[in-house]
Amino acid sequence: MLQSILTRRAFAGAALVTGSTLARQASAAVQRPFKFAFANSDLGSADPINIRAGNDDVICRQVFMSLVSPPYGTADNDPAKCQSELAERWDASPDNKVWTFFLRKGIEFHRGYGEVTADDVKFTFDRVRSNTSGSLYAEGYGDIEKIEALDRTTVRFHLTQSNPIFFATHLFPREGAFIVSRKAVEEMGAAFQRNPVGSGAYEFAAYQPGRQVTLKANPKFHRGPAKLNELQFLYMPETAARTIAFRKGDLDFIDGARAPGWAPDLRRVMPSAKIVVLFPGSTQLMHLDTSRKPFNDLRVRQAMAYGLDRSVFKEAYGELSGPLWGMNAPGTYGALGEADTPAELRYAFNPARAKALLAEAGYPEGLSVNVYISKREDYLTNMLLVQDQLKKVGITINVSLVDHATYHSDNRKDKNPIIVQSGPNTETAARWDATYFAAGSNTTPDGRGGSNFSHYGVGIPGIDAELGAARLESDGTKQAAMLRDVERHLLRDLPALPLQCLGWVWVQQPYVKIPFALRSGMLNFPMENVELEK
Amino acid sequence: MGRYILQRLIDAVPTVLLSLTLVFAALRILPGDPAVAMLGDRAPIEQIEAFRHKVGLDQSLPMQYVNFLAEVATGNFGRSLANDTPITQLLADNLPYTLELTGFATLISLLIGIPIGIISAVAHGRLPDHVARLFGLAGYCIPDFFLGALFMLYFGLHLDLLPVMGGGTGFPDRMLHLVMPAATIGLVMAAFLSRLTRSAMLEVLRFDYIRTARAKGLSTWLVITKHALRNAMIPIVTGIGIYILSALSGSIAIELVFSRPGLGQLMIGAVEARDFPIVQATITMFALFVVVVNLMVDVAYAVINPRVRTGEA
Repeated sequence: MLQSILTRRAFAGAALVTGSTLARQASAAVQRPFKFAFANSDLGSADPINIRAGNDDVICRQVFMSLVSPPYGTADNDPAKCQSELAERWDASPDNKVWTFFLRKGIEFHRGYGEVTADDVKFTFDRVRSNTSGSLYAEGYGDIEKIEALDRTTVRFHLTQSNPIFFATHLFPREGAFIVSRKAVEEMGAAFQRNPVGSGAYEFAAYQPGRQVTLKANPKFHRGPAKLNELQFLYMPETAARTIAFRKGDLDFIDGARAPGWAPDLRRVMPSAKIVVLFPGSTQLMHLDTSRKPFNDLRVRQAMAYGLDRSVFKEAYGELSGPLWGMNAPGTYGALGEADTPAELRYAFNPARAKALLAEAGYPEGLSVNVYISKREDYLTNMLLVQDQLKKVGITINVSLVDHATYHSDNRKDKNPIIVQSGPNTETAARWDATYFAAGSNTTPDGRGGSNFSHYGVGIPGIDAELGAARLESDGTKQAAMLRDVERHLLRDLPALPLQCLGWVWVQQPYVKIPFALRSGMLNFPMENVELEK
Repeated sequence: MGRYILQRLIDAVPTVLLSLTLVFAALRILPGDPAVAMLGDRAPIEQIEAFRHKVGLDQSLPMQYVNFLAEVATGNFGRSLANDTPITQLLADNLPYTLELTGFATLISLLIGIPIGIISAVAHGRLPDHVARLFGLAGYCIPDFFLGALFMLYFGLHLDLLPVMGGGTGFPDRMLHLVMPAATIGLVMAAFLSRLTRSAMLEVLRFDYIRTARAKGLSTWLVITKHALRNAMIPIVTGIGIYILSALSGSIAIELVFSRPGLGQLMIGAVEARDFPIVQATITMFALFVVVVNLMVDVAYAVINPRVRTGEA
């Protein structure tokens, strides 16, 4: 009896507490459009096959669902943490070459485009891996041999080679992997990129070129309607305008500036602002053209590595700067962490050694090289920091400025002997290693080549054989170890110098409540449970 | 008067044609591939080539030029390379914001600049003149984008009186959003205009007919407005024409500072993205503005001084 009373009391108390908490939460939450200002000047594309910027991904993350996801707010590719999204469960063959996914039943596309089926999934990935669909990501999906829709809710991927983390490299919620409605794509054609149809928590409602994208809550979302009825993504490329509007309270969330001093300044004038730095953000490398003098001499490349005190990046960027041990960001599958990097491959700052190597290479008086660099803040800052450092060891870098579009366009035509490149993090080290350092990706003067700016593996032996072997390995642990060996090989040959990881910066108002921590990547921020308290 | 206007319009045709040709050539000379700018630096070459073909960038330059002129002649500027939106729609969406900004900025400059210039001239060498000259000097020294940022910080952020971003929706809201950007450009223009008015008035006030008018016992007000100002108006009107165009170019920076829609914002985004059709269309619009404003100035000359339209001047 006593136990029963206690239980009832406990229940009543708990109900009271829970009820009051819910009531408090209900009264605290405010319903109005959530305003997120991007630093971009416009939407690139909201069609997953030709997403052109990270912020396009942020929008697509709300509109579309992927099959699986890392834990929200992270890019964690640990298999044990992989979450189901459209796929209820999945399995892989022992050699990791055949992956089967079982979809949830009854999930609907927006605007009456019907249920999400295995055929839509097959269509999505066939489209992204096609060279004729307009896909910008076909190369990344080139190892899919075929896709089968076994029944209405079962889809099977056959890979040409083993991939122990296929779910992460190909299916995580980012460009290409968002599941589209076949019917909508076929009906709309090119217009789909401005009027996409997905099955996510928000429906694409309106696009005003150069100004705004508006999303409305999907009333039929399978996890229940999103807490905010409307999301507005505003395009505000001017940092000062974005910052002032944020400080005034006109914006709830903004892209910060990835520039030295910006975050501390904001923190000083607005202590309540919550500055979120997402790592690894961008992986920033300095590619050296190994086919031309003076960088065809390993000793010169080593001299540059020893002459560069990489702590200057931390000093300049502060909390936005993170370490980069190899060519891929720490935490990426197959990338080097501090413990994996031998002391001699860390190239600890040693100006005397740098000068000695230069003299040994036939440049006792130092050397001079002409380069051009983008005016974009982080590119220019990086180059100026490097220029300042290397001048002290006798390497003079004469820098001219070009706009960002010209920079990338001319780099593709092999015009620059030193290229600072900033790229998003990927799920596996194999992807960037293949993109930047495989002989098959060699950059050519006609602009038809790839992004191997250093011509590594073309004039001198490279990592192609090792990378190829690693990609065939079916055991995940062994494969990751082999990829780390590739990274160490790259550090020995130095076709590029690792500079830093530069975090993405977001700033949120204190009254924006997000039910998970934003830690890594910038793409995995589903906003269905975001609330505003003001 | 109709014939005079027609003649001026015919005279403007080569100017517009030359502007269009320069814009077309400049964009093609400018380094940077639109396809790479649109699709990203890691886009496969097949997609880049397909994009070039789709938007006609693989055609010969003469063919692109002919197509461009044909599009302009028909008032159809094509579609944005970036978002495939018809450019006429983009212009229709953005042009009103730029026109209202330039219009209000000009109005502010006229209402402030001309009276200050007149007072300064009439009170030559005295305190009001010194204050007015200081105002003019400040206008020369302070860039409009900097003044805009100061306004945003003080009136927008500190006092929380005015909106700091966007163009507003609905008439009252749009007017509210117009205050700071228009005041920013208008005050800088007013400073220039006050100096111009002052010097033009000082020139005229020395003439004998002003002395005669005063000797006749006319009120100072009548002497200033009827005799002096009207004769000083020719250089002032020329200045106003130039300042309207200056306001128009100033609107580019101000639209960016205030994240305000408009042709300037549209053009800057398009230059960054190498969206040729938009850049061509916006610069064509600016060129047409120049023609229209010059025409207005010419007509104003003719109204102020009838000898201009009869060819006696």
